[in-house]
Amino acid sequence: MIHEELDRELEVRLRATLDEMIPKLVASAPSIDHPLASSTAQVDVEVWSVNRPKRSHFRPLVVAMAAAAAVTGFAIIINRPAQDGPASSDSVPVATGEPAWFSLLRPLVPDRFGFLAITNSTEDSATFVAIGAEDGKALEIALAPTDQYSDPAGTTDQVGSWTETPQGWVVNTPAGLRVEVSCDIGAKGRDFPGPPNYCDMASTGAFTKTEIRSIASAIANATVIEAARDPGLVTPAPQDQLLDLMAIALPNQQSISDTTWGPGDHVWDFAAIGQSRPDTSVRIIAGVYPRPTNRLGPVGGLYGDAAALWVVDPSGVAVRISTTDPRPDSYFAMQALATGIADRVAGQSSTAANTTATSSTNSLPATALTQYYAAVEGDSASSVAALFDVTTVELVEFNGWADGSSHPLVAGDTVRVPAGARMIDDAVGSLGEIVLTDGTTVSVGLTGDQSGICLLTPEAIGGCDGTPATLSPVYVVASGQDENQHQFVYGVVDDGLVVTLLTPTGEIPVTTSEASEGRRGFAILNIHGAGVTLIVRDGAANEISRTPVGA
Amino acid sequence: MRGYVDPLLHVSPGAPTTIDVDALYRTHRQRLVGLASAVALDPVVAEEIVQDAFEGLQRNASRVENPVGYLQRSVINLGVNRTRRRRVAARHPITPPANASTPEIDEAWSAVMRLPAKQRAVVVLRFWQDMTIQAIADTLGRPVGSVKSTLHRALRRLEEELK
Repeated sequence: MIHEELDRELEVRLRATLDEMIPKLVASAPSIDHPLASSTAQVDVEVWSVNRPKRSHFRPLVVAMAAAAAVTGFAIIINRPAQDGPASSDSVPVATGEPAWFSLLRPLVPDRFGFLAITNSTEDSATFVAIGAEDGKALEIALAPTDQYSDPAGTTDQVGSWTETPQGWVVNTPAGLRVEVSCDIGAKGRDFPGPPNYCDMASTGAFTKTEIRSIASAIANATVIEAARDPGLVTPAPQDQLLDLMAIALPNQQSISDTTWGPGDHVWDFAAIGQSRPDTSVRIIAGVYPRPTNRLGPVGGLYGDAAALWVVDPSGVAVRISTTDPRPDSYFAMQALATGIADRVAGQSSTAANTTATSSTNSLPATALTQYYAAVEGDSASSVAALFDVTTVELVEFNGWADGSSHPLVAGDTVRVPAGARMIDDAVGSLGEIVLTDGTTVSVGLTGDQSGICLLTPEAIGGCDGTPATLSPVYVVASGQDENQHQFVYGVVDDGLVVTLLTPTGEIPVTTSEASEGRRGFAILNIHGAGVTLIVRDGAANEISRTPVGA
Repeated sequence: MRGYVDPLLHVSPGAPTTIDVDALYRTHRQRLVGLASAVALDPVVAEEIVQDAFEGLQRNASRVENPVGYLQRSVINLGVNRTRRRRVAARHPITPPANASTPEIDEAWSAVMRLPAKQRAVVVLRFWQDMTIQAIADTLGRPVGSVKSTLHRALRRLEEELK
């Protein structure tokens, strides 16, 4: 009863507060033109543009490309304006419907591959990619006339003649259509010298040869290729535009230690194709359908000793980074690289692609490019150096401070941080999979189990295998040290609890991700240095648990 | 804004195939910007969020049965996501607090701003938009129980802070 009265009192106060303050908050914004003031906007008319301060000039172009893809049913190469500066037109027609090939292919591919795109097309062939919306796993689907290939003889059924490949199946139909469906492991693609039954690796979950065969069978009976035909649009990417993207990739090279970047030899991919494994590659695709409302990813899939992760942007641009050496250090750099490229190509406000500070806050770009840190009260050269796990001397030299480590820092000062350095909470994971050194994949997110976290290999915890999980409000699944002597900790907490890391230089908030109902997951890897403690508090800041990390 | 009832939350399955985005924009923009501002705590970002939501609606118009519900959910999700991205910045809010008419309003608004974005979103939908728990759950695509528990936690937290 008392509580109800309190609630009512609080409710009245909240209503009065929100009624007064939200309009004031809105009114405090600079005036913005009404973009639709004089238009008659139906769903198939022009996209408008408000005077948005951070809108990049890349976006209109990508929208235009996406529109072209939508209209023609053909994925197009990534392009960019010849000159920097604002786009000449902010009004770009956008088609809202999906292309014909999408309508045909969508029902034939399992729902968990939520995004589809064409990656190549000729007069009589087409290649598609199907991207997993939740785990980043992908399928490649290649359609071509049978007379262009000479597949070894295999078994025959009513669909056609089947040949098993390391990554999937090929079926040649009596009508002369060759359908090849493969698990997409990136890197060297089909030349990858993996085990003979690569798609059945335990870590790929339900991604099996059986499933791939059923997809191939469904497609063999369809007329997808007809809808995808458009020979007039196969346009090689000008080399200088690939090199422009290379400018983003190159600084990441030092973070992805197994990689030597060079200009690509493929229209769609610019990649690090070395002479031997391991390799890391990048693929950029425009014209992905459907367009997600929010940026998806990076989400990754582990294929034994290789991994691929994807970012799918609302503009319809998808970026894939794949590697044959998915070590934690490489993986985080891959995430940063994928995000940076997606930002750049999709024209989002990009901290990763710019080399100037973009904010007055100390929020950091997740990138291996030069980073900028805005000092807060109490910061010093040594504390900032410790925050990024670099030496004070390195930081001083990098910033050119003549007064050395005694250089005074006041709140708001911009500090340059060497490429590759990572603030400790930059390693905080979010939705997606994170690869640990022993091959374990920690899946944090909407896993459907009760804990919100599953260890896919080598063991499972309660809930992941269908058994009910009985978990305390704070459940630290694991905490330890990886092969690089970096600490890690991951687990789940009840919704509403606040997770922080207590480090020698202060307390850092930890981002948690929605896991299952009422639970949130967290994964913090690659923590440099010891003496870090995980603290969980309730909403009233009462400490609930304290766990030394790595202990 | 008071007394708002979402007219299209329970739209019939035979949804219109053509959406008058202009009309939706004129009718709902101001309210959506307020919603986005309250979640993201940044009116400039809020404008971006609302535009992104309308862009999303245009892209997906053929599959959207409930445009207003879609816009609301987009605004909340985009607002929460932006807030997450600024998690470090959130310790140092970039939006200067607007002047409140009384110290009580000022204190309560400060407490609302300190709520996690999702809790703040539910509070705003409930007490600024006057939406029912069911309508909030429909809008956010979350179970009713989850919305109830989120609102409960938010109110307990506000209650503690405003003692």
